[in-house]
Amino acid sequence: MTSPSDNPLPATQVDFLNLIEDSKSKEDSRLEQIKTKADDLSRQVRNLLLLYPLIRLEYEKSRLGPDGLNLFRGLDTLYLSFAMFDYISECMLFDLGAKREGIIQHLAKEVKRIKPRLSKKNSALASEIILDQLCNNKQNHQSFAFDYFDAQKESKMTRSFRLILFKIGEDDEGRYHLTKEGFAAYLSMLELDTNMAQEVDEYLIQKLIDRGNFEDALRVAGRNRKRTIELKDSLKQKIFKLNRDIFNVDWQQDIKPFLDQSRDHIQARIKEEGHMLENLTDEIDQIEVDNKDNLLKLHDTIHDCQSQHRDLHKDIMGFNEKFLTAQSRTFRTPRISNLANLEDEILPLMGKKKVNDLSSQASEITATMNMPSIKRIFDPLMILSIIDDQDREEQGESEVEVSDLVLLNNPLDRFETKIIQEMEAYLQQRVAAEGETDLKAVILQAEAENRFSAEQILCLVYLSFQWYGNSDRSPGFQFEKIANKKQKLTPKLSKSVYLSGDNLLIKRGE
Amino acid sequence: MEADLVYKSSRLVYKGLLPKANTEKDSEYKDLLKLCLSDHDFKDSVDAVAEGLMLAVVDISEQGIILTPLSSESRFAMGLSEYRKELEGDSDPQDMDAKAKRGLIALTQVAIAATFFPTAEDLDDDDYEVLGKSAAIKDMNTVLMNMCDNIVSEEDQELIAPSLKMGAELIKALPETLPNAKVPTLKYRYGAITIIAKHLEKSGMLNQQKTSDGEVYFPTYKYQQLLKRRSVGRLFDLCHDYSQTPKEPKKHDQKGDNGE
Repeated sequence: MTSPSDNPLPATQVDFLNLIEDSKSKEDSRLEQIKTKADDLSRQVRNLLLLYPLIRLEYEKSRLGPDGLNLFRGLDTLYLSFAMFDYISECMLFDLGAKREGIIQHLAKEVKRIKPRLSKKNSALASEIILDQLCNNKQNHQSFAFDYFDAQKESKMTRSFRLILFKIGEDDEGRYHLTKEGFAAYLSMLELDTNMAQEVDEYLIQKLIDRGNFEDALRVAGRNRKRTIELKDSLKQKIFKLNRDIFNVDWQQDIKPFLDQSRDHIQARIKEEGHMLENLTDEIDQIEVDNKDNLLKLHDTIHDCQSQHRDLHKDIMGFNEKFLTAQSRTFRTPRISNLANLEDEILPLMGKKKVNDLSSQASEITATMNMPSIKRIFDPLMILSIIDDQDREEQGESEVEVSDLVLLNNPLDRFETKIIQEMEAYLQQRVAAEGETDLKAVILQAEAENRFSAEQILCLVYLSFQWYGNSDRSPGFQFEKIANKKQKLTPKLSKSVYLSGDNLLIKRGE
Repeated sequence: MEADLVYKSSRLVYKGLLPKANTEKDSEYKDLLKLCLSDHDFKDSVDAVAEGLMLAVVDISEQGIILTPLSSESRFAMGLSEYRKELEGDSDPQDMDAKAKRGLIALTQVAIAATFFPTAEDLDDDDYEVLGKSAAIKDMNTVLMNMCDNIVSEEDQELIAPSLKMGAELIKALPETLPNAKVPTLKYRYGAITIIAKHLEKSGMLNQQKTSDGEVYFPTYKYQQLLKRRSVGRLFDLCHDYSQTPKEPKKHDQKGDNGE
């Protein structure tokens, strides 16, 4: 046997081997390229997640709406979702956002276009369901959160986002807005870049101004009003910050550029509105009586905008003074304090704590941040219950907190009247059939019949307990607690003292 | 004489336990406070009675006596059971879990305090200037959200169990408000803040006023003193996990607990 080194290969063979080696490295780099490309896919996947809520809505639409109505059969929810995005983005352009009624009204019209035989009420209901679904009302309006595989990080990640945000505006009215992600979903379907949103916005405005009729002028005035309100809001925020923490406000960086910009905007608006008012006055003088109403309305709107701008201008001019007053605090000799700052030293550390840790410290935090509280006790049984609980707690058996006593509202409030009536009728029927029964037997029977929900059975229990406690209110029933012979009366109450179902006898009342 | 001293001391402590006891309307309270400010023996006796009840005297002035539970073990310590109604699960299967609700209550309480008293300087401000500054629910929400925005990155998060997420993430995922919301609940931020603010108002730590800008709250002297002498120190310890709490009172040692 000879080793390859003893017997060198002919040159052609070496070339061939090099060729193989070359093609192998090329293959590797090609694979590497494919892998990198695959890593880039994460971006696409992330963007695709934004459409999940819409696709889920389309997929689950047959289950939505009242039972048996098939509200969404034949309705294209994808189209309706985008129609809604379109409407909200338009409202964001000319107003502070879209009002719920406005969205529902607009969408109901679209629903009607697709399915004309749907009643007005059901069109509105379908619209409402679409809006709520895209606000994630299924999960109490929390952000959507979807998992995906991030190829570059090689781990599973969660993307949380909202498509539509409901928030209270400066005028204390709630309005819907498209979020950054909402715009991305909407504009990506229009094949536009998100960054172009601003340009689209400006283009639209320009187009409206170019047309130059008064209706458009009113809309432009409306838009300016929106910017004014936004400025007013920012100014308020700045004053709020200033009043709270003057040490962290930088005049040159935070305040001056903002004031300059705001002042320029407001002055330009006042001037422009002045011109518009002048033109309008001439127009009103010349026009025939029939058309005067509309013009007068427009005149009033612009005049109102102008006075709002003047007020804001006054506020901005007075801002310097406010800053100086607030700043006087900085000249005082700082006290030596061993306390931490609540906002920038304590709150962020608390916010970084895990939910688990916060939860376990919540009692301590509540105790330390509140005045002493006096526990309320309403009847002697409650005292025994507290003693019993405390006893268990001391022995380390209790996992729940000591039960402090609070005034209970009528527990039946949680049930709909219809359920209460149904369960009352059912109990009547059981007692009539059995003559005498106990609560446990009624519950078992109701479960066996399989026609009541857990909530309905719970209502039955609440009703029985309440009627047992207050026989005057029981409609034709008599409740009695069966004594347990094994039960001993000790200071520590055992559970059998309480009603537990099988010891509550129900019979026809006298 | 001794019995009289004990009677008067316990009477003053009792008045301190009433959330809205007012010296203007209660002459006995006013006299007891005057006595306490002038007589050291009486003051010692008041301290002792309070300590025996697992309470600490935070401040005594002509405006009133401010007490605080000596620790969370005290029977006078306000527990989360005050928020029992809000903490109870409802029939909604998507309701937040109990841990998240408890965490939300804890963070919101700190954020409200930070809204009125952002710095140590504000807590030390004895000329009441700071007490004249109001804040609306919206402002409290701003403070809470600023904190969350600074902590929670825009980046996607690793997939982890909800209880291992940061409190700030929990708050950020909540909606600001809900359409058609009638009763404040822990399901949205404005609701959570309103619940806590109303409670603070009920216990005399905030005053609510209606202005042209809507409802606003003003902090009271009581709130400022409680935070300054008690809460901030304890919160600092909790932030850094120095979690030892005094279980039994050590006689005349309250000052150590007052963060002084």
